[in-house]
Amino acid sequence: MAGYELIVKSEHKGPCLPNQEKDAVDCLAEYAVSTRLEDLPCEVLEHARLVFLDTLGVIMGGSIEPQASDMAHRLGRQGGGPCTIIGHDLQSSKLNATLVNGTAATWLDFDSGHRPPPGKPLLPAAHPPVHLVPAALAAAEARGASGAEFLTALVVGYDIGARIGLASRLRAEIHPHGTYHNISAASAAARLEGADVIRMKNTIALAVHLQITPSFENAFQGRTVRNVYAGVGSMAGMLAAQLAKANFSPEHDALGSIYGGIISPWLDPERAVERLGRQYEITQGFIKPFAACRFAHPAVEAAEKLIKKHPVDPDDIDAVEVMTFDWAASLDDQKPQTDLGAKFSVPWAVAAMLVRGSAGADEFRSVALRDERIRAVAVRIRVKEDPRHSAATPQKRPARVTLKTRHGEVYTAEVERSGGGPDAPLSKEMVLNKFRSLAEPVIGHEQSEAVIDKVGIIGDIADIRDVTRLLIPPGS
Amino acid sequence: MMQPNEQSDDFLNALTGFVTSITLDRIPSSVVKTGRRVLVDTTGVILAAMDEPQIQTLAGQMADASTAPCSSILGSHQQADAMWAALVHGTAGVWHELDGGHRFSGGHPAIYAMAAGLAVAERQAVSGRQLLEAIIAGYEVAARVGLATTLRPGMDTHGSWPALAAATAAGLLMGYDRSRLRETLNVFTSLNLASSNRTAYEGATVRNAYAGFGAAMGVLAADLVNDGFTGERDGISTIFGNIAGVFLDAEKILEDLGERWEIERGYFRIHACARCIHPALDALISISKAHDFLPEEIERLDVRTYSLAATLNDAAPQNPLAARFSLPHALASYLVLRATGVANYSQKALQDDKIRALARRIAVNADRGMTRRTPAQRPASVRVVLRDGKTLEASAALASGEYDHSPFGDEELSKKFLSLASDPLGKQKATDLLDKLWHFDTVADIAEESHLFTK
Repeated sequence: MAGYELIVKSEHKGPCLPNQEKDAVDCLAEYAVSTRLEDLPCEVLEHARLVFLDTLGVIMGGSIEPQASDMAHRLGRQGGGPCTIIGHDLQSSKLNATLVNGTAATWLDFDSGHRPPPGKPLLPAAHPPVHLVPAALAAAEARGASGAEFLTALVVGYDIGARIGLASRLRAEIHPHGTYHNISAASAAARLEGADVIRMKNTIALAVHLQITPSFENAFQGRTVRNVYAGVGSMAGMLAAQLAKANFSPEHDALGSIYGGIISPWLDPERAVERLGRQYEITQGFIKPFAACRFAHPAVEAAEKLIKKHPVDPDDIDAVEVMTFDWAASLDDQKPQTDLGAKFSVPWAVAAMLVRGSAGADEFRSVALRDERIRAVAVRIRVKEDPRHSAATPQKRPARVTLKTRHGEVYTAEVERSGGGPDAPLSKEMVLNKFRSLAEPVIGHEQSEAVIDKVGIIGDIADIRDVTRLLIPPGS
Repeated sequence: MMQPNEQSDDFLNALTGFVTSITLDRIPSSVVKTGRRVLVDTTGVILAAMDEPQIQTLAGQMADASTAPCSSILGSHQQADAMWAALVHGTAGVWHELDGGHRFSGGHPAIYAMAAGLAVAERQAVSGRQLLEAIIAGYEVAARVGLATTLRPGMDTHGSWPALAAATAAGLLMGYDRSRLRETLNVFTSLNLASSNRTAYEGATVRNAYAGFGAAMGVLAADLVNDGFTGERDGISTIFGNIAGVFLDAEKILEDLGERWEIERGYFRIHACARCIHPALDALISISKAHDFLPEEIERLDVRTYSLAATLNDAAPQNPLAARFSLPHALASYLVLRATGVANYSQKALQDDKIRALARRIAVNADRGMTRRTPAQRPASVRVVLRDGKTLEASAALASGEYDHSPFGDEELSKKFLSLASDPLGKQKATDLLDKLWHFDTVADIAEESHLFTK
C-alpha cells in the first residue's frame, strides 16, 4: 500500500481536560469535530488504512453466509438507497446498510479488536471496527465524502468509543459487541455529516443511551443472534446521529448513568480523555491472524509453532493438552455444533491448526464442521486453566500445548501472548493476504487488488464511492 | 454443547405454547373487549403526537431509511419498513404520557404491542382478528415477564421487557408456531436496551425513543428468525435475571396462566402525565369539585404519597417531558388551567407565571405506610391550605382508570380518542376510524384499511 504523505502540523493543541465547565463528553466531542487529517501522524493513518482494509475483507467473507445473505436481501435491493450492501449487488439506506454490513462483519469472528479495559479480572476486548466502518462508510457514501474525510472520521470515531470502553468495565456477562462501540459509529457518522460540537456532544450521549444488553451466552451456545450485535450497534450509532439532528435530547450525564451503573458498575471519566489527541487508540488494536475468539489465539499459535517444528500426522495424535488462562480455558467444547460455536472452541481451533495447518475463515465455516479429521482430533484435546497463566493476564495471555503421539512422543510449545497486537503486529503482507483470501471469492482477484490499491491512497480519493463500487461482485 | 431449543418442561415453552393457541373465539369475551379498548386507546395516543415537530422529522427519517416500505406511519402520509414504522409509532406513543400501563409490573406493554403490531399486520396483510389476538398475546407475554423481573437500579422499563410484546405480536402476525416464537423471544432479549430512568426525570426526550427502539427491535427479532438466526436457550433468564435485571422470579411467569389475563389488569390514562402523579391529581380534582376557590387563594398544598411518586417533586421542570414527570407542575397546571391534558405540558404552560408560582408552593412527601401498600394500592393524599386558614383534604387509594378502581367506560375512551385524533386526522376521519376500531375484528385485510389511519 502506498503511504500517505505526512504533513507535519505546526501547532499542537493542548489536551482538553474536564473541569467545571466541561465534562469528558465535552472533550471527546471537541476532539471529534476539531481534529484534522493534518493533525494525525503518518503511522496512525497507516493503521487506519490497514484496519479499514481488514474490516472490508471480513465483511465480504461474512456476507456470503446464508443467514447474512438472507438479511441482506431483505433489507437491501438494487437501487434501494445510497449505501452499499457489501458483497451483494444491493443498496440500501444508512440505517439498513449499517445493520447488514455490521452483521456480516462479525460472522467469521475474524475482525480486528481493541485492547481490553485495564484491571482484573480480564474482560473480553471490544471490536470497534465492525461497528465503526459500516457506519462511517454509509455516512460517507450518502454524501459522497472524500477519502480524507472518511479516514479522519475513522480515527476519531475509533477513539471515542474505545476510550469510553477503557474508562469503564462492562459487566462480565455482557458481550461487548453492540455496546460502547456504537458510540464510535455515531461519532464517525456525525463527523462525516458535518456536526458541530453541540450536535456531536448530543450524538455521543444519545449513542450512550442506545446500548443494548447482549449476552455472552449466545456466543458460548453458538447462537447466531450474536452476529447481529455489531450490526445493531452500528445501526444504533447511526440512529443516534439522526436523533441528534431531530433534536432529541440525552440526559445531562448519560455516561454516568449507563457506564457508571447500569451496564458497567465502574466509570473513570478522566481516563476517557487521558492523552486524547496524543495517543490514538486505533494503533492499540490487534488484527486477527485466526478466525476464532481472540482468547483462543495463544493456543492456536502454540499449536502452529508445535507442528512447524514437529510435523505430526493427524492420525498419529493420541492426546493434546492445552493449559491456558481462565477465559480461554472456558472455551472447552470439543464438539461444536455451529460455525459460531467452533469459533468459541479452543479444541476446534487447535485441531484445525493441527490437521490443516491453518485456522482461517474456511476452517470454521459450516461445511468445515463436517471435516471428520478435525472432529477426530478435536475430541482428543483437553483444555485446562493454569492459574499462573490466569494471573499473568492481561499483560500476557499464555497458552501451552502438549501433544502426545500414538508412538509415545511428547512435544510441547508455548506462547506468551498472541500475535497481531501492537507489540507483535501482523506484517502488512499478512494483512493483505488475509484480505485477498476473504475478498477474492466474493469480488474476484482483479477487484480485490483494485480495492487494495485504492485503500492505499484513500487520503487522496475525492469520493469514497470510488472504493465502495468495488465492493460488490463484478459484472453485477 | 448445543441442545435442541425445545425444552419441553420450562416456562418459555409453556408461555409460548399458551399464547400461540390464543384465538378470539376461545378466550373469554371480556378479554376480547379489553383488547379492543387497548386498540382504540393506543391508536389515539400514537396519533396525538404525530404532529409534534420532532416526531415529524423522525417519521421523515424513517421513511427515508426504508427499503421495503409496506407499513403506514400512522397519522402521516408516509410508508416505511415495518421495523422503522414501529420505531416512529413507539416514540410517538409515549410522547404525551397518555399510553396505558400495568401497575403490577410497572411497565407499558400496550404501546409496544400496537406500535409493532400495526406495522407488521399491514405488511403481512392479515385480518383485524389476528391483530387483536397478537396484541392480547403480546401483552400477556410482556406483562408476565415484567411481573417476574426486578430490573437493575436506575433502569427504565421502556425499551426493555415491555418490548417482548412487540416481538411476540410481530412473530404471531408472521404466523410463527411455538418454537419459532420462542426463538424470537430469545433473539429479542439480547437486543434489549440498557435504558436509564433518569431520562424521564430530566426530560431527556431520548426516553421517548426508547419505546420506539424497543418496538423496532421486537420486529427485527421476528424478522431475524425468518432469516434463520437463532438465540440462546433461555434469553429471558439470562437477560432479565442477570444482565438487565438482577432477579427473575420465574414462577410468577406462569402463575394463573389462562385464568388471569394481564391485559385485563391494565389501566388507561386521561391525565397526560406520569402515572405515579395520577392519585394525587385525582384527589386534588375531588377537592376542587367540592369546594370553590381560586389558585390565588392557596397558601400552600401538601401531598403525601408512595415513595416512587414522591420522587417526582421537581417544582421547576425545564422542558415538557420533565413537566410530565413533575407532580408540582401537574397539580399547579390543573388548578390554573382546569384541565389535565396535553396542553398542560406545552412550552406555554411551562412558562406560565401563575403555574410556576403555584408549583413552588406544593410540597411533596413520601409516606412509608402508603409505600407499603403498593402495588395493590398507589395512594396519595392532598391537603390544600387556603390563605384564610381553611384546610381542604382528600385522598385516593388508586388512580382512576384502573380495572378495579374507577374504570373508564368505552364512551370515555371514545371521547379521549376523538380529542387526540381529531387534530392530526381531521374530525370526520377520526370519527370513521374510531368506528372501525371498535369493530376491528371484522376487518378482513388490514392492508386494505390502512388509509383510515393516515392523513
